Amino acid sequence: MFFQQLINGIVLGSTYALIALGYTMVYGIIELINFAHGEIYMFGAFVGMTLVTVYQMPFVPAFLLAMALAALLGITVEFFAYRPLRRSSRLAALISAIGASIFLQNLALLVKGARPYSFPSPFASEVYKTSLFTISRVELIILAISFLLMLGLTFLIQKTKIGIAMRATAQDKDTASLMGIDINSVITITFAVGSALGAAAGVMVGVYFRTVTPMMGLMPGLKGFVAAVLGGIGSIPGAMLGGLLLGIAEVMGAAYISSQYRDAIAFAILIVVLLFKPAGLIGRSLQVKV
Amino acid sequence: MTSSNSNNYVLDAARVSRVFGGLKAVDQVDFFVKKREIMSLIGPNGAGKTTLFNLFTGHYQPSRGEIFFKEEKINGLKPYQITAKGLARTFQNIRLFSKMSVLDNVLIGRHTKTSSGVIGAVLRRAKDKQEEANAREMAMSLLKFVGLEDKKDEQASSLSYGEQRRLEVARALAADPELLLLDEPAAGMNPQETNDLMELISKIRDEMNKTILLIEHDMKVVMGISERIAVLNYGKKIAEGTPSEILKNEDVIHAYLGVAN
Amino acid sequence: MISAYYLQIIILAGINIIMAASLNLITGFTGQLSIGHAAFMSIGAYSSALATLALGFPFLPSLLFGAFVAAFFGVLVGVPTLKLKGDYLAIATLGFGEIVRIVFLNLEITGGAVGLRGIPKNTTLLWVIVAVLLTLFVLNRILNSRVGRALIAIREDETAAESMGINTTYFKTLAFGVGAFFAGIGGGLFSHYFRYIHPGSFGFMRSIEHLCMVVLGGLGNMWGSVLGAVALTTIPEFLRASADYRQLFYGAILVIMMRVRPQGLIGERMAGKSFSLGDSILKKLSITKKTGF
Repeated sequence: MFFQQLINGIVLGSTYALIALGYTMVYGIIELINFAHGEIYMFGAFVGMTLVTVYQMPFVPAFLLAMALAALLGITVEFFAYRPLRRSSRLAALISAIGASIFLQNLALLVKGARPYSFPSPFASEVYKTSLFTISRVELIILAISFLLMLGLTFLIQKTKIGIAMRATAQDKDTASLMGIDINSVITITFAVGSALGAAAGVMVGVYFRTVTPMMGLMPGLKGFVAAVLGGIGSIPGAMLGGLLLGIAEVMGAAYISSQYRDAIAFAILIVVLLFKPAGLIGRSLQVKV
Repeated sequence: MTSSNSNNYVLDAARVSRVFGGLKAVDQVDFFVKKREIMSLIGPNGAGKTTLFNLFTGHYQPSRGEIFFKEEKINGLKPYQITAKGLARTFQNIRLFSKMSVLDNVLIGRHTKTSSGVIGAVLRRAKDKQEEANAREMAMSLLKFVGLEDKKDEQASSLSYGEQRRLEVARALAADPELLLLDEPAAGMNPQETNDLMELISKIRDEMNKTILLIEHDMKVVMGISERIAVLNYGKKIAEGTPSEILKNEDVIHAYLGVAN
Repeated sequence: MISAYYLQIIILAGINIIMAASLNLITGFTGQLSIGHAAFMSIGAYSSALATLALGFPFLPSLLFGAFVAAFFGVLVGVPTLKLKGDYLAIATLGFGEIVRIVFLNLEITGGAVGLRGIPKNTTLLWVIVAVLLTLFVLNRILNSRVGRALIAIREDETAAESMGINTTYFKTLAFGVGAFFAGIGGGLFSHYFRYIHPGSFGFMRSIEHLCMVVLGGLGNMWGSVLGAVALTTIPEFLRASADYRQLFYGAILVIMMRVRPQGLIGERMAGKSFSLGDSILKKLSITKKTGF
């Protein structure tokens, strides 16, 4: 039973980790919570579902196209809601971010209606049994894809030129800009990559639970943020670790404490982390300059 | 360790260090300021002057060492607690409450010397009105002191640079501090404004009986008004003495000019 | 006499003025973004309703009871979370709001998902008018005092405020406590007018609605909150907009206002003068006079 819950938690947690990566990357660069990230996740799920069910597209190209379109949406949101406010107060930017999130969510509600859409699984419903737990094919695929995406992201950040530019910008925008890095394109690429990862999570969760709704981004979006904070916002390995831990904590909490308070667990964790380890598990603590 | 004749010391720091990561921004500095003196803290950029200030005001906590203010240990205290004990400051990069009026800025400086809370705010009892009236009177006299009484209703951000610096001084004085810390008060001022500032600093000491510690790069100001000077370099105190002693000090000349010979 | 329909809109507008004004104290004047204001409203609504139903309190004590319980939670959530900087605080208030909603959803005494029914209809137009006037009066007095100056100073520059001897954590907590108190009053008036409350009445979107009212009228401008609350209560009613369109509109308001008019519709005014509409107009005129030579 325990191992089964652990596996369920890791599967759920790997999707939280993908969402958390989007938050943490954007926060690392522009120090803003991209509130609309949950809606980009939802958008990705809708695109994937539509391509697979309406256009009969095979899963892999549908998955990649969903990521690409979500990347475009992420760039658009940045351009309209965040970029004009880069020199404004943080309060203004944050309010604009919340507005963008509400807007996209309700746009989806208007266009798609509130009813859930079914997302038939493109995978055979095979189940593998071990002595400790059973795991379905979908779950294995989710784990594999999450792992590959995180590996790819790590490579991008650590080994490529754009990755170096991203890290430099995160450290010090002004100096990076003096070194000839085009800050605007770094921000655009960061939003694109983060959004694509969020969409990947959206499609996989859609397949996993077999439904897609306009409101589906709200809770996972918030939880992805909690995961990012838990790991240490701004830290890429932190987001991965935070996502997994949050997924496990949520599944375990629902199984052993109370399933009714499932969604409250994440927020309770958030408040505890912020109180006792505000820099997160592997984040740097920042000194306010005087 | 505080020496036995420290009753005369307003501020007394013993072997204070502050480490950031691996960098020793302030390294075992002994430091004292005597009552009613004007003292300057100088040193090349990055020498640790502002960090030392921030240790005194509680914005940073020392990694090691002890800081005494009027013989009372103040490390571990928060900035607002230290201000309440009688130590007020200005900032290197002016930090006024820019959307508030000039008068309100000074009134905020009066915060520690007033006590009306929410109940007082709502009921406006006689003592609350009296307190507010006294605070306003005091704030106006400070504005007059720094020459800003005509601008009391203007938004702080609309003042000129030199005026903003003077407003910051008035705001700090409103807390009626025993020790006033000025972080580069002459930065960005023209020669006329600098002269006015020097006059103002002397007046604050002579007429208000304050002790003043300033960080300054403008040597005309430093040599013109300081009675004592301490020099920091790479986080260490390399010299301390009267202006004429400092001017002759080999280490100081080296620190400023580099190793010339 | 006013028809029941218009009366309901007026009462709702009054409650929203209380909500927006109290949120403005926290977010507009103290600079602490709260996106969980509806949680304090729900605490006030449930507590006062239970005081009436279960304890048999008369209306005024019920209202005050609800307000104090809300203020208690405002302080409770304030003490730990206010050490956090802007963004984290926003998320923490959101998380708090969600926790409160989930707790009400699962508690037996609050009727779970069904909510509370049969609350006596004690809220009258007169009660609402008096409550609105008292709220604005008290908030105005607070803002034009030593306390108000400390709150605005925290918004303007927290580090400098602390250097001026302001215990920033204390004053931020105070702003949350006072803001939550009035939100609790708003909740009590709400539950004793509509006679039926359930957790869905006070969800995340309700908090966003309050934020929109504040942003529309102008952060840090009390008259703005009055205007924002009245506008966002009445206009959708007259347009008969469906809830979906209304919320889409809220999202757009937040983005567009921050981009084109972050100071709100009423316009720029100096901080510290919470009701200085006249002043600001005069100031505008004098500025144009100076520059228009």
